[in-house]
Amino acid sequence: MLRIENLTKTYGDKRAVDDLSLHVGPGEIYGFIGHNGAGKTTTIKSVCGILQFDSGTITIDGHDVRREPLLCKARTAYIPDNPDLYDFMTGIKYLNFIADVFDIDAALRNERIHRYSDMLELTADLAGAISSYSHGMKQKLAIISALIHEPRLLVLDEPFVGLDPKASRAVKDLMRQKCDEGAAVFFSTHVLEVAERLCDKVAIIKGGRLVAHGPTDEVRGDSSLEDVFLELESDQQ
Amino acid sequence: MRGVLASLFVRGGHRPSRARTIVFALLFAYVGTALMLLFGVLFQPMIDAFSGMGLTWLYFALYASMVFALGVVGTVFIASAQIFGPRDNELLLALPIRPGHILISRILVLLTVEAVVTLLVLVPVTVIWLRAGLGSVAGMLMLVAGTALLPLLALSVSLLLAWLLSVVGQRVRFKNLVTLVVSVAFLIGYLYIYSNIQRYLNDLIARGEEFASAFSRAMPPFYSFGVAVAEGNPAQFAVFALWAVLPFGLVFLLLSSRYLRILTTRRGSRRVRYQARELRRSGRLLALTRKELAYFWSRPAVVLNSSIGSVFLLLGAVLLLVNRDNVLGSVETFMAVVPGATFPGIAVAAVAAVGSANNLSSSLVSLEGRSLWIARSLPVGPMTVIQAKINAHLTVSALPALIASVLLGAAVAEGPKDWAAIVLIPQTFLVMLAFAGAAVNLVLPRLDWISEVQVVKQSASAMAALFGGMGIVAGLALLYAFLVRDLMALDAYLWLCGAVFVAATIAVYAFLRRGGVERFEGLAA
Repeated sequence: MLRIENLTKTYGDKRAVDDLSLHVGPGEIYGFIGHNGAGKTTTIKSVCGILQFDSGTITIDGHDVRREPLLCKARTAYIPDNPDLYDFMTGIKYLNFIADVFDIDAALRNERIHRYSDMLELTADLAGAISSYSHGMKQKLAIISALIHEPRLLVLDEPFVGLDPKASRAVKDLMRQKCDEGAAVFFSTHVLEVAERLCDKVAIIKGGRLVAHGPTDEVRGDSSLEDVFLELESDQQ
Repeated sequence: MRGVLASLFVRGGHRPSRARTIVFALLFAYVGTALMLLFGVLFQPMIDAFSGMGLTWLYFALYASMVFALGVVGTVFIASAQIFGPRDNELLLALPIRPGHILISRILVLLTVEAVVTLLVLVPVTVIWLRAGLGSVAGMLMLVAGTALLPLLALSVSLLLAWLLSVVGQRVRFKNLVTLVVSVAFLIGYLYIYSNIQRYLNDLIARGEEFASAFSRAMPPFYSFGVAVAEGNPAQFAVFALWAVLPFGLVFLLLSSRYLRILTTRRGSRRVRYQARELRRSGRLLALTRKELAYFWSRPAVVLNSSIGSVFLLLGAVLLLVNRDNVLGSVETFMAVVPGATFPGIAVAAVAAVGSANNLSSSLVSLEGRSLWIARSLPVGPMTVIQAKINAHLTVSALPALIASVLLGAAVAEGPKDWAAIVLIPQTFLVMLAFAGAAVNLVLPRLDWISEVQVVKQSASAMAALFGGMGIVAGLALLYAFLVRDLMALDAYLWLCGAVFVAATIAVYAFLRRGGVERFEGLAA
């Protein structure tokens, strides 16, 4: 579903991502772990076509993000770490706007918006201005907007930040459900316990390079993901 | 303070290039010189009249009141946005900084703005005074010292008004509409006074002593200022200094003692419960254009700064409807002193010049700010996003221009040729400006703003689009009056201009499709 090959991105003299390759297959939840500044967000933004990279290739469902950006974006949903939404709109107008841009049929959008809003318990607040939403409510709205077009690939940057435990659980269930339906989820997190329990595969990035990746059980071995992560961190220093 | 000033002049941690600094210095020098000449024309007749009547103090008292009025008008909306509404208030409050210090840093920026405005009036007023041979060392010292204190007096009033605006804004239901109506009413009042200033001036000179007596009673701070400078009177200077410092000190103490409360008190809005209803489907470009317009209407600061030309065009149209003979009379007076001017020519130039004050498209890319990631991650091409911004500009700009053109056509057109020129040529110009504004914004984007005012009022792209549009109209008018008039008839020249505007629009469109798209894709989301 997602293939990243030899991705490199530099900011001035700094290599934020250095020759990174990873593959996310259909039905997989893939966790992307690394310390602050390791290159997670740069990789994610490159995948979503909102950051130009220096070299390498990224394909989504067989389409190159550079050559066919619109096709890739139509198959992808992106949720940034800090969802700055259009706060001059109400929640429902924002969702309808997103549905318009993704060209979703009127009946389908009605059904999906209400289904996901009910699931994340945001329906009652959809008429409110986004400017009046809490961080968690904005995060929920961003998640609903990401699901309206039934994406093949969900790319999430720290998706659980700001969510209450119930919503957090609902999002985890949604991620699994989407994968069961054949989609793929690629998300970054600092919460290693979540990655350990939720992810089929994980990749650990440090200084822009992958230092470990593969099925979660293999990467973890007999210890916890946290131990592996901290050990890899100290090995590299 | 350094942080706030950096936010005005430094983009994304980088200082502007030397070339850009030089271009903007020249632009500011041009605007500054034009404004100083304007004030010079205003004050020149006063000095002889008032000094002849022994009322030189009135000259300086009027200077002080002019600086005061400009200071209040010029800073009240900036104060409202920068002191009570910026996005970084919470960040600053979380730092170990006293709220009073945050207030001081913001006030110092406002004082800088007022100092610049004051300088534009001070220079011509001083030159006229010295040329009249009335200057003295003591007077000059008091003029300089008093001028340094004048912004404090203006700021006392603008701070209170800005606070009032922010409190009213939190309490009224249709906040945007009310802010918009109040602001436009304020602007109309200001323009009414400004457009009648020559009449007031003539009355003033004719009834100098009577006016001086009333003025000295009604405006004691300015009276003291005037007497202090004209006579080099230290006692009156001390009185004026008290008038300037005391109110400012009181307002500052009042605000600083409550600043934390002002910034942290949020009146909750009534919760509107969502009632499910059928959602309507729109095409991509229409949805994006609607989104731009929804943003536009939700921000009074954007409406007032980016579409003021449309406000004036509609006001002008109303004025033409209710006061046709007077308006046409004024145009005739104007035509008498402009070589080669005709009614249709002036109508075309008027709609184009006033419409050029609309510069919405030059801000809309910057105004994406931190939500740029949405437009960048959606499955729409960059050109569609840019086109939606141009469409929003055209929606706001084209209809008022069309209304004004039709009314002007009804008043002055003598045949289909005049009608076509009055209706079509300004539209070709305004369409070109819409495209050019988007291009300028993509060349000079500013995404790191903390208040929209920084984009729509202070950003390089907004200023370049505004002055560029007005400069083109002025340049083309001067070109015709002094060079082309002997070579071709005015209507032929106007159509030639229209053809050039169409060609320029095509050229800018071609740039947007390649360079504009590349720049949009290169913006850091």
